[in-house]
Amino acid sequence: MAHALGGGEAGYRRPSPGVGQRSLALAKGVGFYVLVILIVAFFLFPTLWVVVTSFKLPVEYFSIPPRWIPEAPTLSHYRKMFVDYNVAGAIWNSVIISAANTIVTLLFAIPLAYAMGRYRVGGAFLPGWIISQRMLPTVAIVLPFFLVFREYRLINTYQGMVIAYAIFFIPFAAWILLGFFEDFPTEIQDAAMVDGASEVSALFRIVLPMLAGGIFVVALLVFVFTWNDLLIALVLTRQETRTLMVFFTAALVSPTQEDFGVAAGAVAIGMIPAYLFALFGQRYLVRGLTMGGLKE
Amino acid sequence: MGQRAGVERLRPQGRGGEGTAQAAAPRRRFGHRRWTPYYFAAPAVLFVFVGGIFMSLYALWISFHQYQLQRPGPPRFIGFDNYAEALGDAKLWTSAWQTLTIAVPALLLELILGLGLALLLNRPFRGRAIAISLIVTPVMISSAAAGMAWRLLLEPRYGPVNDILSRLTGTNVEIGWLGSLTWARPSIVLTDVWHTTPFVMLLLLAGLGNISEEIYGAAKVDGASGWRALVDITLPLLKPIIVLVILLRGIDLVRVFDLIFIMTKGGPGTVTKTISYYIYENGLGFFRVGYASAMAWLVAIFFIILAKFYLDFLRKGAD
Repeated sequence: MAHALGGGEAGYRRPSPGVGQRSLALAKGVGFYVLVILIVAFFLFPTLWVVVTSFKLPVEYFSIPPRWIPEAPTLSHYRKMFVDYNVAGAIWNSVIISAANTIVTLLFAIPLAYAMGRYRVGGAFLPGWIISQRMLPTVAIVLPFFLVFREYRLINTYQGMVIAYAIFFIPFAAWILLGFFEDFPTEIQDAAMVDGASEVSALFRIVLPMLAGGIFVVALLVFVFTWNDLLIALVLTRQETRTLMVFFTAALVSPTQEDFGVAAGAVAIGMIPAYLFALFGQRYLVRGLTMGGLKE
Repeated sequence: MGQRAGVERLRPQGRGGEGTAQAAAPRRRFGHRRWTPYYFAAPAVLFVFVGGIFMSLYALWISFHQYQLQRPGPPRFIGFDNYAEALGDAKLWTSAWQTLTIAVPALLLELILGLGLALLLNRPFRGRAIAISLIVTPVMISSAAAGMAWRLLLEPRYGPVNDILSRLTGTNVEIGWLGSLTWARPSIVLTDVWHTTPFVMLLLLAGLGNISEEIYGAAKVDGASGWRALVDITLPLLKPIIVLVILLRGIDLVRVFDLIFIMTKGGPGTVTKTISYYIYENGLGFFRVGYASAMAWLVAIFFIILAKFYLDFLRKGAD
């Protein structure tokens, strides 16, 4: 047990500990676990507090000192959210816009990444341009979007949102996919093409199925990032198309009795895709969040 | 199968006259090979490149005009006046300074805490995988949701943070975190630290995993203490990852907007007004579109320079 902890200092192994040393190691082990549990608690607590608050009655979350665990859990905020505040509309908008953007982004990004990965189209310039696009502050990009979309009546439309997000996310998706296509052995595809398959059919029947796992993770990343975006949605949507993140901004305007629980409930729903990703794509978190700066 | 491939390879020669077939086939194949990659790349490049350039040029054009959306009349050309105004705008420089007073402490804390966590967890113990999975959960949550969560936590009277502090100190703590001139910026920093430290930890853990145990064994033989081993061996070997963290987190922190918008709206007063928020407020709050575009371009140029550093770093990392 104490041995499994690997001792205090990284990589040092003490030869055959005596009795005194053994109890010292045990105390260290217990202290270590207490520390880890405290750290885990710190990172979990805010989320838990949000979820728990959404099930509390106003009497409970407006009590001083705060009541930590609800005695009478209630779904009234969720009912209120759906009936009075039309959160379903916001969720629906978020789902539609995120899903449509994921599909459109991949349709454009996969061929681009394939051309860049296999044929080095664009040399060093295209990757460099892609990454510098990604560095721009969003507010600098969203302003011209707003002005141009006003002219073309694309504000407050699904089409407008998907166009804006796709321009934003195609470079990102292509950049991550590029890593997968670069790693893919060309011989496999060449073999299929020698057997008479056209390039497009070899791509669809051989290459893409073999990269399905990676493409799925990129799709998840694009979906979650679109879902999470606040600024673009804030500027380009109005009442009818507003997403769940924009819904947040209205949910806690004044802390009246309902707003607290409703806000907590909406935030809890808003966190679901993040948790789904943590469940299915955690392995690719590092690659996704560093734009392949660190392949792990 | 071999037979079929053979038949196929023979077919062009069997068809038509000898000369034309031999001359045409290779040329067609050459043309095909040469242009196919561009067909694949074209749709995305046209969409993003043309779209992006059109948007950028539109913003550039507007930035040379006095253009206020609620006022009637077309944009009026005023040359570089907006740029001159931006460079002399004390509020812009104040917001830049305030951005740094949020970004720098947050970055340092995330780096130090991330490194501490990575060192702590870089050893085998029972429940390690679960602990890491749980610690990492905030990373994919949106900034908007993180900001909302911490607004609930930092609520002066009903929030658990003041409650915990009250219990620990035995006095009645009622700090108005987000409404306080002193505590508003630390509250934003705290929220960002909670939100992204696990990501920093993940990167550093990946780096630590690549350092072989043997190096430490050699250090032990040389009589190096744990601390010296950290400073002399671990940190230098982690340097590329630390640089990566500083670049990635630095860029995100310097353009911080969501947390500000959700948690403080730039207040109290203007203490949490960051550059992104200031531009947003001018362009989409006051609709001073021309002026906001000029500021956006200035900031964009600054960021393109930052991006160049990042790219150079990536290239160096690849070699």
